[in-house]
Amino acid sequence: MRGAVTRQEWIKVEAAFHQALSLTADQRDTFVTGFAAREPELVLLLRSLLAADADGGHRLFDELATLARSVLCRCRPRP
Amino acid sequence: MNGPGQITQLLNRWTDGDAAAADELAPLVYDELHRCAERLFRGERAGHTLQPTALVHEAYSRLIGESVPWQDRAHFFALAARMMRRLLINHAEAQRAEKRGGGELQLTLDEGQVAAASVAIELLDLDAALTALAAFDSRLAELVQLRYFGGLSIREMELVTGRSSSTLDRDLRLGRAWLQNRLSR
Repeated sequence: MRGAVTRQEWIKVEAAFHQALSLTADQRDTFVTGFAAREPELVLLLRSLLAADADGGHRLFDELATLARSVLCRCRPRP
Repeated sequence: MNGPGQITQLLNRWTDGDAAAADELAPLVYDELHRCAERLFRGERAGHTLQPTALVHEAYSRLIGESVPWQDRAHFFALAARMMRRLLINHAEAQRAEKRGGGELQLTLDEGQVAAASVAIELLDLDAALTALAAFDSRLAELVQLRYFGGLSIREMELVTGRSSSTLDRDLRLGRAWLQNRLSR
């Protein structure tokens, strides 16, 4: 997922992600467009992270509890 | 002697920089998590949902059983989150091995066993993704582990990490988003 981005590039993406979260939807679009102009090679990663956050990031970890419970059932004492 | 006194001593040593104390503490925490799981299932009520995070807090209550400095508490939960993750992965690997136990054996698996093996594989995928995240951003991976395997609240994470709740919230969202993308590839 991070692909070949360097540590410095990841720091830029991380900072942009954090800033984007603090903006309204309209402001975020403008911000991402500006980011694309400055960092054309990184904007795809930023967009995919924002999309995942909006779409399913929370659900993933709701599912973790369900997965974990199923796995933990193997701890159930045998009769 | 595995009582609260010993645990507290080990935590103190670890907080003071003795890394060997963490190695001594890890199997004690792992075993207690396993015992907690067994005990909670034994008393399980209909509709009760066993959460791994609840196990970690239960293990804390049983192993520590007294108030300790928050630095020690932070160390305990960091370790417990790691052990909880390992416990889950060990069981998931066992389930996957059961599913891969040969063509004839697979024919004998009932639907419940197949479903259990499937979720085990999902959990192993998540574990692998978390390991990949840790390879380049260990801080984010540690935060995700604390929150979702250790069961720490945001307030507890503030104490453990020294970061503000707003920063933690943003970091956790980034970690989740990265993992979500990784898993959907």
